[in-house]
Amino acid sequence: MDLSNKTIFAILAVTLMITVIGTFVNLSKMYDLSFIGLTGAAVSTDQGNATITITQQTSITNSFNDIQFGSGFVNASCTACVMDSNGTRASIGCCGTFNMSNNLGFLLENTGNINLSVNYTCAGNCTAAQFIGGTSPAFQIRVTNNFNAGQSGEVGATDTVASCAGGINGAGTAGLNITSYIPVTAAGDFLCGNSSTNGYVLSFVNTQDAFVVDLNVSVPEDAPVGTGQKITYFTFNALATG
Amino acid sequence: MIDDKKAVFLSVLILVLVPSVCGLNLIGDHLSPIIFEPGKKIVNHYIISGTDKEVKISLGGDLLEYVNITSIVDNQFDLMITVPEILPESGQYWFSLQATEINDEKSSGVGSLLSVSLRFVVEVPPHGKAISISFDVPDINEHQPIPFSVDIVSKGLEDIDLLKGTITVYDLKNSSVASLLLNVKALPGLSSTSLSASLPPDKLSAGKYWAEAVVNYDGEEKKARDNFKVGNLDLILVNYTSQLEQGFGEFHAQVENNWGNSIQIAYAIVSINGTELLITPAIFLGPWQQGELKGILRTAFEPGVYNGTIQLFYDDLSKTEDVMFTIFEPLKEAQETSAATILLTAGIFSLIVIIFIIGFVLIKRKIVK
Repeated sequence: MDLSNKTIFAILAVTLMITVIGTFVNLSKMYDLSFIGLTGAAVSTDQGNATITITQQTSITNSFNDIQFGSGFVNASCTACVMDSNGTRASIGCCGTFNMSNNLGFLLENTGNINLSVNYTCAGNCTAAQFIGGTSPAFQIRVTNNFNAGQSGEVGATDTVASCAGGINGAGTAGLNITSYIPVTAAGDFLCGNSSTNGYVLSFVNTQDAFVVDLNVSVPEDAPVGTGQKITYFTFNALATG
Repeated sequence: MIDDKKAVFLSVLILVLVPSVCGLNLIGDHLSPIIFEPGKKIVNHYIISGTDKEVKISLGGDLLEYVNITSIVDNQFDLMITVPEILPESGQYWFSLQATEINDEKSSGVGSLLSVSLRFVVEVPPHGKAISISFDVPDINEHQPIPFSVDIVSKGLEDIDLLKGTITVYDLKNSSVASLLLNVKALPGLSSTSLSASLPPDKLSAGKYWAEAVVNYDGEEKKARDNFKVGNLDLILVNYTSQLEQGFGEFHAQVENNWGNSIQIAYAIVSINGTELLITPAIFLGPWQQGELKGILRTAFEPGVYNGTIQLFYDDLSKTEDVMFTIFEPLKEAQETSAATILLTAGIFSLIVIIFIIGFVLIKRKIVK
């Protein structure tokens, strides 16, 4: 079949047009050249949203919740028997039949995901006169961060950094409030931090989230012989913003 | 096979070694700060876990007439806040939610309970119109437009119909050098927005300025200000060691990159009376960053005050700062002289004491004889 020059020219023209338009379309798609003015038909689009809400978990754990000094008497050669919950016995020979095995304090740990402050209150026999009696008895409380106390039993990792070290109201260097022994009171006190805006200094970070509350008792030789056993309850209250 | 005695011993050992762990968890969404909007109802669900004791829930603090808790079912309960249509007096309040373990009957010793308290901050907005504004102008390079933006938060319950503002730019002599109008908007109560405008390039030359934003809202006015800098490719000499010890001594120069791009190479040449004494090692400076050029130089000049120059080189540019240097005698010699004086005095004193002792001994022998 013979093709005329006009037909060949028309076929060439169409081929050229297809090539040029194809080149423009491809370039437009490859380099996002929207200014060329060649765009595809609009297609419906939809957006996907990903949302996540972190729930606040306010948690406190006490890994040693029962301090037993036991029952006993002061040996005749002594004026008092002094016992510390951390196992220190200033006068071990004086403490006849008291429990000598308790060497742990209350180990409090922030096991949640928000910083806390912690205080205590006491119920039952909270003063030395009530708990022990006699001449110059002592019933005292003290707080030590667990990095220094080194008490085992933390739920999370053992502390490698001193806890409660954020400072209170920007003042001082430590947020531990009772670092040397003071008498136990029924009203209690803050142990770590306070409830001011920047007073929540017990971190939830595993390496610095625990402290130990120790008790120290001094039983004088004239402490009254009890007809029943003395009970004292400490309530440790963890505060956080809600 | 373990005999009975061993079994009893192991049981006792395990009882002794098992730590007495107890805990208390209160799980729920964080709410603070709670904005009191008329008629608003908030319900927050809580789960109690981690304890085998009975737990008591209680409320304390302010605004308790609008706060309730449901009874605990399967260790779960709801906190419900119902805001009244007529709000209490505006201000900040707080209330607390406390979950406390209830004492089980203990026979003796010192026991412990746990408690968790959540403290909620409540903000009651004023009844009328009130806003808070924040204004922050970025440092920017010369020949670029300067963006100004004022963030506005409506703190009142009432809608603001017309929110508009102006920004005035001042130089460090407090002369007004530019001003521009911010776009106009309406602002619903307790919502937020921002008003913005842009100063065209080259309206301000390189230098330090401050700007004041004045926001008008339905006849009321609020102001805020911020400092900013229009930078150029320049290295500014901030401070330098002007007191130099005769002989060898350390030299420090604090310099500042005056624009928002990095300076790859910055160094200085220090000269006194035209004599070049030090070429410092080169340092890199990030955008707007300060750095220290330092080195050890040797001054052979007599003590006194001299004219000097610090030639600063930064990328392909350089400039010369005329400075004054004070050269002083080394302190070491003064200390040596002082030490020598002390030694001489001590030596003379010792000699006098020895002569006195010898004389005393001789007199005593004569008396004995």
